[in-house]
Amino acid sequence: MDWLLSQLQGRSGAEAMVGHGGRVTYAELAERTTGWLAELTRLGVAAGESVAVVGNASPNMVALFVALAVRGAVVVPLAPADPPREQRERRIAAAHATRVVEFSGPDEWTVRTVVAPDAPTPRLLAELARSGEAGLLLFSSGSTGESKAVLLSLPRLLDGFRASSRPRRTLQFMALDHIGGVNTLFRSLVAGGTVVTEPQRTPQHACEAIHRHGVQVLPTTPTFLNMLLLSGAYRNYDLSSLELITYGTEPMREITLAHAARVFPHVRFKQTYGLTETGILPTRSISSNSLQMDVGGRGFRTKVRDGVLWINSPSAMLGYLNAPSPFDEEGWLNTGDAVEVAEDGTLRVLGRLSTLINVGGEKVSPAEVENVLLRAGNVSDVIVTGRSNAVTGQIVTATVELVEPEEKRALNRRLRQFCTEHLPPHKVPAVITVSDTSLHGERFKRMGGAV
Amino acid sequence: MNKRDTVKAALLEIVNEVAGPVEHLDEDQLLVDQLGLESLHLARLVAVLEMELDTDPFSDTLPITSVRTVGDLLQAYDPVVLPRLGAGEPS
Repeated sequence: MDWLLSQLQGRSGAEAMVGHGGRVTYAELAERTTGWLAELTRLGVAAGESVAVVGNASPNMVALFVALAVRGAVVVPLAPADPPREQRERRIAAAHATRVVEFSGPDEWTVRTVVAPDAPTPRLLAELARSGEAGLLLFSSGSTGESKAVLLSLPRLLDGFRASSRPRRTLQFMALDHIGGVNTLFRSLVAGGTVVTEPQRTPQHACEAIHRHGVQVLPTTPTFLNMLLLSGAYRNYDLSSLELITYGTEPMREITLAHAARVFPHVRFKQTYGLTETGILPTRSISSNSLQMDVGGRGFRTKVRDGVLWINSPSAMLGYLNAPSPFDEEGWLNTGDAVEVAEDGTLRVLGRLSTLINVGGEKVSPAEVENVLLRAGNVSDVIVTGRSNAVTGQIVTATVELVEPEEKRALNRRLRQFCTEHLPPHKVPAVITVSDTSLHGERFKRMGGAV
Repeated sequence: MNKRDTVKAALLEIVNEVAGPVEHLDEDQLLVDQLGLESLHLARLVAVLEMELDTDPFSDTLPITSVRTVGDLLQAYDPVVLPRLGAGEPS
């Protein structure tokens, strides 16, 4: 991955990042990266070692990310508040991380050594260490409730970004523990653009960052666009620098897209598509107010089988550390997304076939939420499902069976409080109802569920 | 409780969680920029009201993005039809 550092050095005085942690040029970002490389040597971090990096995107955090890539280590990016600490520690263990670098601010961090689990190093991590290739470990929701640890090859992922694109000023909207966030960051840096960081993802903060830093590209989600339009914050700022808004990770409602296109008539809207397991695919929306798009190209191949989208990706993950590979022998992945193919061959994503719930782009496994509710006390059985919602696409709802009767409002408050302590906010059921009849009959009808 | 009271009560409960004790809501208060509601709060509000009122005005033609104030929200669940100016007497 030396090419990445050389490329940063080569862009010298151009602005690389601005926002959280201040403004840095490419030369300064490269300098911080070499500083981190020296620090990694001092700490004894070797190629193949998994290092967890907790924090919001800032020049120092990004320099550490690049230094770990150059060193040939496995980067495990984790957001500061989501998931809660207990779950984060489980992820650190699943990644077999030996160090945790935790940023408390853009220029403050601590490094701690952790004892890797007693279990042998997963085969994929051992193979990667032998090859000397840098890795990226991300977590995606599995249908069984336990997050899947997705191991990607960083050189393969970043190689895809080397096809030249125009340098632009892009808001780093998604966090780096998400494939979309990694995609935004490196696509922008490899193209020589400027990454604008703003850790607070409210409409007002985003609008202020766009206004102050002349952001041209806003990569976002349909839920955020809903909130942006609903808040009206866009009226208070000059957003005339915006050229492109991309949206993905969850289905877009036509009504929201039409409203957004009316409010931002000079901005092009483009749908994105990708999975943690495959990376982000090249897409082209047929127009700003259409949900039809071309998907694929640049080595990505797609096919539709029985109405479901399959992908063959050059940046496909190496595999899960804690689950069998979902790819077939020829490298095709069933995305689980139902699609409709128009006469001109363009696709429209209709939604997921699986039981995973998509809340504002974040996937939720019903089984994980059920397992938490079953520990909350006075709950003898529970079924968690997704329900359509105008704001976040879907929300989580739970139907419980009680041991003893409990007042409806108090029960809701108690169970939601318990879930808040054990789950990130988007996984906490929005509505909890009590079933009058036994849930057993219903449970046997459906696949999966808590055990 | 009539529809408006139900909407107000559900909103007040969520606002209390977000911003601490609030006794009264004004119809011109902004849901996001003044009351501090985030996407998950609004999503929950719509879901709770669907359970309580058995209706979701945003499921079909009314865009949620058109709701900015407390008054907009009340109007969405309980539209007050204003008489058209100059309309003739009902026959």
